[in-house]
Amino acid sequence: MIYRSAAFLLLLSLPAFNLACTGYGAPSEVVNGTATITVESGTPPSWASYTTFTITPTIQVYDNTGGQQDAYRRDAESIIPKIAENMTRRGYQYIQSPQPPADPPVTHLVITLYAYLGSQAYGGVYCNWYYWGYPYGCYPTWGYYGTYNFGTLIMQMGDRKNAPPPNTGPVALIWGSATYGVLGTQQYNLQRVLTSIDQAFAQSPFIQR
Amino acid sequence: MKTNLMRVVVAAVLLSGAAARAQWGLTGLRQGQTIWALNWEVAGPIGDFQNYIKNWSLVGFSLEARYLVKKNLSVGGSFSFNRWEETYSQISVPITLPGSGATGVATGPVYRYNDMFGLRAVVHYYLGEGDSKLQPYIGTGIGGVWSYAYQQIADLANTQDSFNFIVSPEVGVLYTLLQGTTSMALNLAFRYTFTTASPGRTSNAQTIGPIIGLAWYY
Repeated sequence: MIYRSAAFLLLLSLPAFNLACTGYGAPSEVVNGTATITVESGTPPSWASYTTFTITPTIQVYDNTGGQQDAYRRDAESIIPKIAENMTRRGYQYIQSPQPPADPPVTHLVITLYAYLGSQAYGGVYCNWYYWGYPYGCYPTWGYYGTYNFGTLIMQMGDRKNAPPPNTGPVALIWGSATYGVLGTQQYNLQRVLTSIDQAFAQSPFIQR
Repeated sequence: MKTNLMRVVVAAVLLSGAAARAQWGLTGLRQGQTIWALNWEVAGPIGDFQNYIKNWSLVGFSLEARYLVKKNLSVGGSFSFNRWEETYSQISVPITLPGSGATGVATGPVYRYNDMFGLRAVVHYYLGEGDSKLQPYIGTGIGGVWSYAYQQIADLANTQDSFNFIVSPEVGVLYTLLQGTTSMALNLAFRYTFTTASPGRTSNAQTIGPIIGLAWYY
């Protein structure tokens, strides 16, 4: 009797186990949405001690849209005013950088710009049993495959004021911002880029002279 | 004539009832019986857990076995599964970069889910004589729960999994649908669950919710 009851229960449980095994997946509004990540150094600097800043006049682009990674530079004139506006509003003085190969000005802070373009495919059997070490414990139909289009704008702020002499090499990064999903070929929209720059500063209230 | 016909009908009804009693027997709960139940569980986050996910879980079930050590007292075990899931269109979450000590904030659409697999020892006390179709009970479960929390923003994902303590008092009622050597009942209950699971930056995930299931005992 006990075995028959247990077997009957297990049979009834199958739809429930089926539910528990269904794949997970973030909706496209999350996967392809715009997200702004800001990070401050683990040893926060004294933001009030800086007075001047500059922004590199070009964006270093790493482009993977053609299936291979190409590196090139793009002019950053469309976004520099928005970055400068946010920094000057926080009390810092903007000193414009000349176009290369001219040397950049000497400032306390330097903001560099990068962009990553392209997409990557991902997929596999998404199944919660996987975490118990049975990657194929659920039927492969529940696998989820897709392509994530990244178009990421990165701002990095370096501390040149406290760099060791002769102050010509790399400097310590004290703040970084990455905005995902704003530079993809399908989604590029300058206003979204500018809004994301405002968002990056809005969630970094500690940047204040 | 009409009176005779009525007598026949009454006799037939009584005989059919007697036949049914002979077939099914009227047993009720008694010592030594085992109750099996398969339940659908609905569970809503309360307390700090709501800061991680607010949506109620409609995807939950439990499987339990209770052995009546006395006519009105059972002990047993239960396995349960619940999943909570929610997508936020725009929120900010604090982040920490592993290794570097750097901290920050991520803002954007966020997708979260939390799975909990519970394994509990359960004890139930049945109120009243147990001879009626309605058998109220109170009970509690205590054991461990495996929690897996996942959140994603753009292509960044954060996962947490842990094994935690769980305790879950409940009140309920068994409503007998069929009685016999093996009886079937509808199981209706309301459960409060406390766990030490801490999804995201919350602590001690707690839920409440109704349970609807089928039980049979013999």
